Amino acid sequence: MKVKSFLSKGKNISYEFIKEVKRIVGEKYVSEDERDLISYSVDYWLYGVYKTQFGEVPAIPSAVVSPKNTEEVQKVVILANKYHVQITPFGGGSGVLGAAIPFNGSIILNTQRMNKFISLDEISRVAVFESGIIGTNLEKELNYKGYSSGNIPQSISCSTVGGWVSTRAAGQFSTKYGKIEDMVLGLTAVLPDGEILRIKPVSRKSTGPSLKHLFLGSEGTMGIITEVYLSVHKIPEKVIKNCFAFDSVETALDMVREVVQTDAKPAVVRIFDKDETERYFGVVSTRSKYQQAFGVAGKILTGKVSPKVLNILNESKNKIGFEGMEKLAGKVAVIFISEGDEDFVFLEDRVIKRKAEKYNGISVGEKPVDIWLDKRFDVHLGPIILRNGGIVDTIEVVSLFKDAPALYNDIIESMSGIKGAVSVSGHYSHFYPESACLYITFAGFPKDQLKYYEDTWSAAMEATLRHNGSISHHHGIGFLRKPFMQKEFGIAGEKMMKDVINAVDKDHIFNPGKLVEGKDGKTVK
Amino acid sequence: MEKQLNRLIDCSMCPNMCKFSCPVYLATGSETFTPQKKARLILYGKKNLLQDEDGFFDTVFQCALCGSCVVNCQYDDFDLRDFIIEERGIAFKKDFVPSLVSDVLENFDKFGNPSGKRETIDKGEGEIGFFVSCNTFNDKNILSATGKILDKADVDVKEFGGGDICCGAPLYFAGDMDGFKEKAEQMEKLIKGKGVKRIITNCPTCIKMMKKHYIEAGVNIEIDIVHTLTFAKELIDEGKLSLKKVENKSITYHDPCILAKDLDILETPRTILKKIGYSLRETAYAGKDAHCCGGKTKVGDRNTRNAIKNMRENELKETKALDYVSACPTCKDVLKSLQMKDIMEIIGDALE
Repeated sequence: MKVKSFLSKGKNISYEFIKEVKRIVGEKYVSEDERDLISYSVDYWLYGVYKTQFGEVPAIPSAVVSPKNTEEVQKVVILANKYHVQITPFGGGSGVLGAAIPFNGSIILNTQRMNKFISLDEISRVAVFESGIIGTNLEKELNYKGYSSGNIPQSISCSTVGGWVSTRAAGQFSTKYGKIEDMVLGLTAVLPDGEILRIKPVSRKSTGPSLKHLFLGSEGTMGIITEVYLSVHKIPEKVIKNCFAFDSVETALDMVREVVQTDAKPAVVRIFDKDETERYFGVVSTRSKYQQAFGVAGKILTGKVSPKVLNILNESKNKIGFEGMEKLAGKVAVIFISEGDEDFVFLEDRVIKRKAEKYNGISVGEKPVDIWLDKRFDVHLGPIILRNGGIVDTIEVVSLFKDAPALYNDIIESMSGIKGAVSVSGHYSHFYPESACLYITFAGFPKDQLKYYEDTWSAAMEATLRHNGSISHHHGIGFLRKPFMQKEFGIAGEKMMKDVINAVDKDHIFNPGKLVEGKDGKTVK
Repeated sequence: MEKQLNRLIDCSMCPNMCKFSCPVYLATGSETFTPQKKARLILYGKKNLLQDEDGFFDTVFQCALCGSCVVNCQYDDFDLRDFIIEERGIAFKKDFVPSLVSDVLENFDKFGNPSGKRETIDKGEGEIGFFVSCNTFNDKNILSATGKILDKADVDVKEFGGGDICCGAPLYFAGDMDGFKEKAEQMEKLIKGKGVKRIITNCPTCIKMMKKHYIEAGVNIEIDIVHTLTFAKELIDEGKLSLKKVENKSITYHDPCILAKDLDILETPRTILKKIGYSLRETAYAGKDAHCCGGKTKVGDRNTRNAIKNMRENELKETKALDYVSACPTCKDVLKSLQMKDIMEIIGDALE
């Protein structure tokens, strides 16, 4: 192949394996064709995506196998054991940490043929889906019947429910509905030895350690998830939107903390720092074009961009004027969406307004919320930055409220100081009574893209660990965060995780090179 | 062109935000057939990085050209179909013609149309031309319903079609751009010779060909072309048609891709159906989100085409409506297992 891999080299698998696997899933669902090997060579790990434009990909699989149901998955896994063929599961391919990149020339097990809505139990409000259904279609099927899963990540149109479970995903409405681990009731999975595990969709069992939770965040190392049972909700009858302007991230965090520490559960809560407030809502700014593009951290940012890219960065800002937009100038915007039963929503709205008043929040009405709702799936700028030689990515971490302000300041400063950085900004978008998730977006135009990328990630991870935070909230580990897992868990914790994975996957069949370093040192061959 | 090439690169590095809507992807489960991966492969083709040319050409024929990716694109100035068609053109010049398309091309060679030997229609007088599309020609029910509506409203038309008269869409889909241009020039000459002020037709594809792709091929017929549905709605609004009501009947409208996604005609059919008294039952995927029926010659692979058809049939059946209706003779034919009707038949039956 002319397209080359730069991260992990492939190895050949036997003719006999290919011949037998074709008998299981059918000839057309096993491919060694160039077009398929290229298409499954990278997920949405941003540095890998950046390299694709030059004809380089992270790793080329040996083959792509696409089974149609649990039973076929089982047979493929048994066969893989027989021939010692490693398997990398591939759902929507939207993961940003490289979890679906086929290291070691493993085969891809593509779950996307298993993309059906199976059934809805309206009495218990439990829906069942095949694991390869894309989030948007999952929601369309539920909405059609008057329900919603409540999990609306930015990747909803390209990620699968199996992927959500595998990464402990979170959506934009998580403060009310929770993360995927709060929604999954049961699942079906094929284990590394080929056994089929069916976890009953029943809440809050006291039947020993939860096997379900072994799969949440397992990133394909414990088994291939083929079916997922989700708790679902009626589409809300009442929605109230609010936006307030605060002086600082710290004040906004205090206000939101007090809201979520009451019984209030707003579906959406987002704190935008001053840069993101300006970018999202296009507030009137007196700053220079350069400062507007580079943000408040501009004085420490080290990168330089061409006028063309500067224009692109500025062009991406909201241009829609609205009444009260001047109130957001130089401020931190906080938006709320309360939804559900009308009586509860009105009560929640009163709590939010009372707390906002306490912290001198200025009401900006609901227009900024509508702007956010319109723009929340807009990712058009990312590829443009990559095409122009830049690097862009996002990092999400989580910390206790007491550590949140210091973590925010440290992470912004640390990432901004990396050579080549041109924009580092953040928002908080998932809240719990104790904690908040900080979501950083960064872009740089460095001379050495890989060094900038790695240094920036390290800076963010180290800053998070300095402030007692966890290195991921909902994107997961993949291979990119693996080096930080020992610091995250400690030596004992990391060893225990390896021990668990090794006990389940004795022959190291599933997803080589992911989650923990080398599992027991044998996995990455 | 440089801008469009840049957009192709952007598309190839997008998270695949439109993939949920692609009928080929949904029906096959293949990542390779998602729009973003097709963009990457096209880019690699242009960079001479691909060795399996047949595999690549097959990939560009694994597309329904339905426009779902365009509707859901992050970039409002980009249409991946332009690149798909460009690559099909290259494939055609290199004699790559999928088996599903080759029969159609053979008919064009022999008879100048996709169906085979047929009579030419050339009758009537009036300022409006009624172009009988190839698929309408094959469906006497649509043809007679349309005639009944025009008669009732007392509209005189010059009716033409059949023989070797075709908009050339199957050639366009197959990548035969020279053949397509020839058909466009033939159509231009024919229409200009008719001396009509407006053209009506039952086929959304013909409208798009004449309004957009003819111009891209350097042919401008400079006449307003509308769907018979739009024309019928005008007649109803002008009071030239009165409709009797049906009672206790449910119906599901299947949005044809080009009519909904390219021509933006979504409400007109629904308004008419409601006016007749039908209770509308939408599918989970309706309007611009409706999935393609698979078409006849847009997808080059028979299995893929059939998988798309089956998927759409199942989605439609979910509504459990009494009747199913569309506004495209191709959709009607493809989805015939549902006893699909054309909206002209529904209007024709409802005439007072």
